[in-house]
Amino acid sequence: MRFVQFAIENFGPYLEREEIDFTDRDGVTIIWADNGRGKTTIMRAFNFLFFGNIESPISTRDDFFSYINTRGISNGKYDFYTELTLSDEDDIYIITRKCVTKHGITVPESSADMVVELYVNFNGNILSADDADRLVRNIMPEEISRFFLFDAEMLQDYSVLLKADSGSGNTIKEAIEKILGLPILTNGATDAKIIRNKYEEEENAAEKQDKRTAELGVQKGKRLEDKKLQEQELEGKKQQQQDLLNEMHEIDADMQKVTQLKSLLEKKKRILEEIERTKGEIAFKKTETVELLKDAWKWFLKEPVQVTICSLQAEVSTLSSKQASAKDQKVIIDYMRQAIETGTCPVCDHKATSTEKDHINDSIRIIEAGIKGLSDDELAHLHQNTQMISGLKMLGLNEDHLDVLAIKCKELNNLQIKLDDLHDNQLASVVAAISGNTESDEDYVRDLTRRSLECEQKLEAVAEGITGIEAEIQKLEDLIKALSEQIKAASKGTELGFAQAKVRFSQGVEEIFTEAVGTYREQLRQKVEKDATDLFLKMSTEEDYDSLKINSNYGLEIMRDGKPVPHRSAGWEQIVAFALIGALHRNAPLEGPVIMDSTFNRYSSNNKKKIISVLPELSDQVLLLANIGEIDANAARKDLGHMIVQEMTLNRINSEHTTIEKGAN
Amino acid sequence: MEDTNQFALTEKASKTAQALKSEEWFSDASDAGVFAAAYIVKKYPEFDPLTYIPHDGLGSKYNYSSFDPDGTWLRFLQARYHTETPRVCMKSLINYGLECISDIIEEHGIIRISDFI
Repeated sequence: MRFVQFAIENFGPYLEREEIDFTDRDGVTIIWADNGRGKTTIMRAFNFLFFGNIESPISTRDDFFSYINTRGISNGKYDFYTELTLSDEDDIYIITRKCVTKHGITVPESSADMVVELYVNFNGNILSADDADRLVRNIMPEEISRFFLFDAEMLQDYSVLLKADSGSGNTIKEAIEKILGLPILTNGATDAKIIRNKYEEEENAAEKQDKRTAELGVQKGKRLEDKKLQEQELEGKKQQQQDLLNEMHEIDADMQKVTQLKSLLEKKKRILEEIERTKGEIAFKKTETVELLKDAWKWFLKEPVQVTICSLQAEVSTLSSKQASAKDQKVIIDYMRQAIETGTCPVCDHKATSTEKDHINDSIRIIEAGIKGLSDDELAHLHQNTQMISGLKMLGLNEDHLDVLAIKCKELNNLQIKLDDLHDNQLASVVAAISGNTESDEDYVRDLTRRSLECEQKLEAVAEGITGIEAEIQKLEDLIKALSEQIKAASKGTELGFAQAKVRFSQGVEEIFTEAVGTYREQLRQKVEKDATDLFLKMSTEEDYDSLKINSNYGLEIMRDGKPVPHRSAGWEQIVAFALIGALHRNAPLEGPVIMDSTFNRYSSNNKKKIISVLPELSDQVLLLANIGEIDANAARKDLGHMIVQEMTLNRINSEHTTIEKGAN
Repeated sequence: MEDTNQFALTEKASKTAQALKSEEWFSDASDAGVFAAAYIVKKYPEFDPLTYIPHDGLGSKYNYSSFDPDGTWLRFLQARYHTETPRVCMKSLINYGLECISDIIEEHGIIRISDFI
């Protein structure tokens, strides 16, 4: 399955239709963006597309109204949609999920006035609503979406896998086994057992009817009845165990809420500190800008002053030339007059004849008539212009630091955007999440801890009960087997052969499936452990970490000198989770792209470098929504090399309008 | 036309100068006026202050010297526009400049100095 194109319109900050074209090359597509540009909205848009809901810490999953673009609302445009074109070998799917106003409503006021519609175009044919829904659920089952659509913050959730009997851990484990294809085998084993039980009943009915085996058949029938009762009890116990695990899951979730509240309060504190820091930076930058602004008018005037000087100089030059030309002609006339008066040319000493003197006189008259010196006005103009030029030069408007001012202004704008994002998005979402989290007092935490302990005790008791019943069933099966042997011996030459063969066959099938589940599960665990270790070591910056060790829940421990590393940090937790996800993708029969809204702020630059280098190994297509400040773009390009298939940028036109542009800024 | 040492800005120009002052981009409204005049000279060279007639004179009144204490503008405007009424010229530039700035601020919804650099 490959993504071909993703489109979004009137959703969050995306006012107009914006598209992400995935290439047909394997590798990583990076979308660069500053905070507040709409990265998380893209993740939410994918959630909306696949599951018809929008995950957000500040709104309910069906709060669609708040996702209509605000400029769109002003323009009377209320519908939004996301669209994904997929290819699967030769098949093309176009999935469109729309949120539209309900029939009869012209101006929606809340999500209650909106309705979600799903359309799927499969190879040019529009599927029915049911088929469309089924197909989208098959393409991306919600339970396993965490392995395809994830943000780095969520990666820590995988640490619960290390805890045995954890409710959340069990849910994730089930999702992992689902992605790895294990249910195909476990369902097979269950079905084989049902068939075997049915055949055993049929066989026993036949045994009771034959007089040579009737007595043994009755005994066996009683054992079969007992076994059936035990199996029913086992079923009940397993249901009880499941209920307890669900309860544990709820307790875990509540515990997580408490932990989440603590982390939200921490986060709020960090955001408030960041807001104060940013305000300080803005004040400092503004002071610098205001200082520069004082002289900005002079820098604005530099070029116009130069242009004016040039224009004045051109006029001065024309007038001066005219003045100089007249002066030169007067000098020539003086020479000519001197030649007439002295009878000798002052230049070459030639003796002038009277004819020549007449000719010179004529020439003097002609030249005098042609001499055009400066008029009084022109003289005044020349004088005025010369004075103005020197006046303008004395103004000293020779400097231009507008480029420095422009940089300061840009820095100031960026800080303001950062502050708006911190305040309007980050702080607002944390505050909303905190206000929705009322379960915080100590009594509540104590009660949760008590319930968790009780639940664990009950789980232990149930597990013991299950073991006891399973042992009892095993005993009964042994007895039944022994009776079956006796019946077999006594029934030679009877009609029982076919019924017995059916039982033997179904037993064999059941054994194959049961064994296959265990073997496949163990093999998967080993493969996942091996692949996760391989990826982990590529990402690890600690030379003494030598492997990852998997537990029955697919939880992974970091091993050093053959021993687990205790108290690993949140950053390492995420690296381990990355490794697990990569390993699951390598081993899962279900293929799909990985889309990650990644926060890399937990990592050192060396860690980042290694993690980025490993991204192409997570899946054939990886879409990374990258925060500009957290990843060095040039380093990422170098680390990914040819595996970076394209780069895009979220470009903020204004707070209501973001565009997706090809290329990096 | 007579050159004048005292003039009033338009209401719109006056409000813009006050806004730039109250947002602390300039310590004085007259500094904002000088910035606006220079902005027009640089960015709109085709603007002719000699033919421009301000909409009204309902804004604050100023002495010309508060905009040009050392006569820099006077010399520049005389040379640039060959005018005998450089103060009237300055009045036009300030009014038009502040009104242009006001329109841009209104369009963006915030005062962003980078829009004028």
